[in-house]
Amino acid sequence: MFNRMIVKEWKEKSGLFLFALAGLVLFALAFSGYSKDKNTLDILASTLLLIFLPVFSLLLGASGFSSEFQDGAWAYLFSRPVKKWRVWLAKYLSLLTILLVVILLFALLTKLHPALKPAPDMFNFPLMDEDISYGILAFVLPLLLFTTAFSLSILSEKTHAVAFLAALVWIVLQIAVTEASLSLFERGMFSSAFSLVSILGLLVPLSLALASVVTLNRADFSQPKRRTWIFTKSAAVFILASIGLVALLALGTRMFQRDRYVYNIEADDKAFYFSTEKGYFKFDLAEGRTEKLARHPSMWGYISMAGDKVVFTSYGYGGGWRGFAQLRIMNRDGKDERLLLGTENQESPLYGGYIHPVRMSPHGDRVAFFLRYGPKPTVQDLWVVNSDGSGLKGYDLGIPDADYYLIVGFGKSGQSLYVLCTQNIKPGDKDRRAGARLLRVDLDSGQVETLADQIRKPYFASMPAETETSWAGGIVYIQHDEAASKEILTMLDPETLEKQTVDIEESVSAFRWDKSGERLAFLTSNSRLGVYSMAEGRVVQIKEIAGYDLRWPSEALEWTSDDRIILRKLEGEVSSICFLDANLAEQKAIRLPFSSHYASRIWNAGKYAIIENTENHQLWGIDLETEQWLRIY
Amino acid sequence: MSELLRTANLGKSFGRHLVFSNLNVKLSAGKVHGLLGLNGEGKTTLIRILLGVIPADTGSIYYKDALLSFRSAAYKEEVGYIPEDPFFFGGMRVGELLDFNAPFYRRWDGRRAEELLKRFSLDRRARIKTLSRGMKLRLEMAVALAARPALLVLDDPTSGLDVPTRHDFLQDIIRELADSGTTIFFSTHLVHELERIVDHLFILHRGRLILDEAYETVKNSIRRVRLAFPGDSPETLGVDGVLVETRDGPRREIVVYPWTDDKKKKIDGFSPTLFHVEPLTLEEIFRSFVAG
Repeated sequence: MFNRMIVKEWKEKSGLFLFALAGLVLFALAFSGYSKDKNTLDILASTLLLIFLPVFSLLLGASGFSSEFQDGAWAYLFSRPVKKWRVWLAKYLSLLTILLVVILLFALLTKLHPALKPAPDMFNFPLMDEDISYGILAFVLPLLLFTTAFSLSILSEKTHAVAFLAALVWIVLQIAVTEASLSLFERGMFSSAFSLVSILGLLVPLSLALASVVTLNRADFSQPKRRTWIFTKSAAVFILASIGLVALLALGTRMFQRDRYVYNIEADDKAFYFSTEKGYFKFDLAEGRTEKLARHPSMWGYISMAGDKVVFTSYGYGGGWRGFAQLRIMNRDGKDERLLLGTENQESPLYGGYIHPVRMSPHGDRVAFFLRYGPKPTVQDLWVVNSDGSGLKGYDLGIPDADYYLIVGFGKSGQSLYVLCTQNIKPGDKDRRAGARLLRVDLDSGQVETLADQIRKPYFASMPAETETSWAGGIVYIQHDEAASKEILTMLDPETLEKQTVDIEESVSAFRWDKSGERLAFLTSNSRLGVYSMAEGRVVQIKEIAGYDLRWPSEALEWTSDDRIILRKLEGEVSSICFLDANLAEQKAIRLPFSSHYASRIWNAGKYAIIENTENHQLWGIDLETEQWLRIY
Repeated sequence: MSELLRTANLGKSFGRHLVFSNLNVKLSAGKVHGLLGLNGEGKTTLIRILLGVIPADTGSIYYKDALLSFRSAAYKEEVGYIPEDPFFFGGMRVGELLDFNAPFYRRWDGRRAEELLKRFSLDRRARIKTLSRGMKLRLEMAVALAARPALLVLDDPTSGLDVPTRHDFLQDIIRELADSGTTIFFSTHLVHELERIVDHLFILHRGRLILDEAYETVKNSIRRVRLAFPGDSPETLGVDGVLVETRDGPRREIVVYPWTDDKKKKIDGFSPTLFHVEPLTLEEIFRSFVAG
């Protein structure tokens, strides 16, 4: 039956299929015509993804039962010896094959068209960060729109009216889900907000599909009003049941609660500072005690320290502050905590923006931060404010299609700031990711200078701890070498622009400065651990390591203050923190006080090695002298 | 005669409009059942309910003594359906329609389908939308018969056909099917079509079955009586079962069902000068029943 139904539907929907093919040809021609104009290619690809395919999906779905209505064939079809839900399913699957073929053709177009090559994924869609699966938009959205329209198609033979209704349902659904998820988001339930969007985004079309099957099974098709009533009633029941299911799930799994995390970490020789969803904390290394410095919760709270000050971000979860970011400052002991600036003022150029990330100048007199989602549609500007709250100044870095900024650090004088900037990829961009750029911003003149480009894994780029060494303030990053077609670890002296590179065969996946800023430990894609000496300008040790947990390489590696390297080992249920000597030989392994298969982050602060129980959002520290474990958080 | 299909107290309304209620229909195996009714009396609705195409509001349907629900599908394996309008999927070819239907029926007889195409002079490659109404009817018939149905339901299929085609269709095919044991349920408003083939007669009128009887019985017991009296026609004849009555001075004409000897004696008692009794055609029978 399915085979025959597929043939029948393909014949009936040949007009729509030809419409899609015509679109395919037009888009191919347009891509060729604008092959040099990346912005237009960007718009065209977005139009294809966000308008053409959704509209096609809606029309295809909406035409589901139109032929049965138009010539009364529904009576003929229902008089066949087959369950009505199977008729529904056969039609649905038949039309789905058309949709999938069309999506596949467009995927091939975007993959193979020379103007768009090389495509980053199945679709060369530039709007999304590559971390987000293109499949969500390219496949799931058309599929859900198609399912919605198909489900509604049992209500009327008027294809365009059904398509319009389906679009309306989606708009209402999007508004409702967005409002609900924003509400959760503003309460710090970020994961829940995402889950809500995903679950309801799937459950509502599914509810409509079930309502459609129920209507088919129960309704009299010769009575449109009655049919519509049964559909509406069933859809309401299923949607309410879906919401109830989500609520039960939320209660059962405690899904809708504020996200828990241990975030931004800073350490000096006296204390280890960190932020969680509950506020900002300080672990006093001498006393072995954790105290809460500030209650202000934050969305991925940022801390930066210099001098005797700590600056941090906060995000209002309730009251008048709900949804607004703040920048706050306090002494290192948590005293004199006050607001530096907020984003709640409608007159402010920062209104409604999100502060991310933040860095204090070496002398503690200035604070730099980036603002995302500010009052202007694309504000991602750099801002600097004095640590007494005065002198707010914005910088336009003039990077076209800037996507994301990261602050690497201040220069030694505090007059210049080093930032990394990623850019949106566009169709036809030469590479999968153009790579991030390292910029130097002169805070007095506002002049912006590009120091390096083609930087990969920009989130890992770092400066060493601000210690007084020849390389203190040196910036390390992973740069893509096009000629060698590999990623190279590069160290840059930002003052002299002198570069050193780690010359090894494989790509580097992570690195970590030692406490003096003299040596750099790094992990390679072949699970090798190496140490590069800045003084000697060469790799002094490199060795394959086995049995260590390198799943989160940038966080899996740490130096102790006595120049040992710390790694985590995972052997079945037993987990240990391991110390490697100068020859990269394991010197000691100490069993962790918790059991978890989650990847863990490791830090060193004074005499403590600190490891995160990522699964339970705990921090454990081991006194390296006594080898006693202590729960820090 | 074994019973193939039966309804019990079937009822259906469209909004506030009652189509029928408490309908009890029995179809006996191997017989041709005619369903007569004026336009809009609910014949198509009844057929669609029997075929599980639309649900009844009340009542039950039994097929071979098994209770059916609106979702039942298996019994439709044994039911062929020829609808009123040729609503085929227009873009299909003749052969494609057969191929489309074949997987629905386990008893589908491909060879028979081909034979029927040949017999009806249907070209497998012809597009359905290019066929005449008569050819479409033949194609519907070929599809229905290839599934070897135990029950064939025809919903006024001959309306709009020319007389020779209707004649061929009824005489050649329906009678042949009935003779070979297929139960036929035939709805029509062209009453005379049924005359030569019908075994059992249902008349649906104003939401009720006003006749449910073997045609032979009806034909033999319904009579038109023409009377004339010496003076004025008596006020009442005292005869029950009068379906139609007309008066013109001393003359009087009645249609009586059932016509019995007792009624004849009663009328004789009025000493009519004219007493003529005559049988009715099916069309006249139908008109007499719905006139009341």
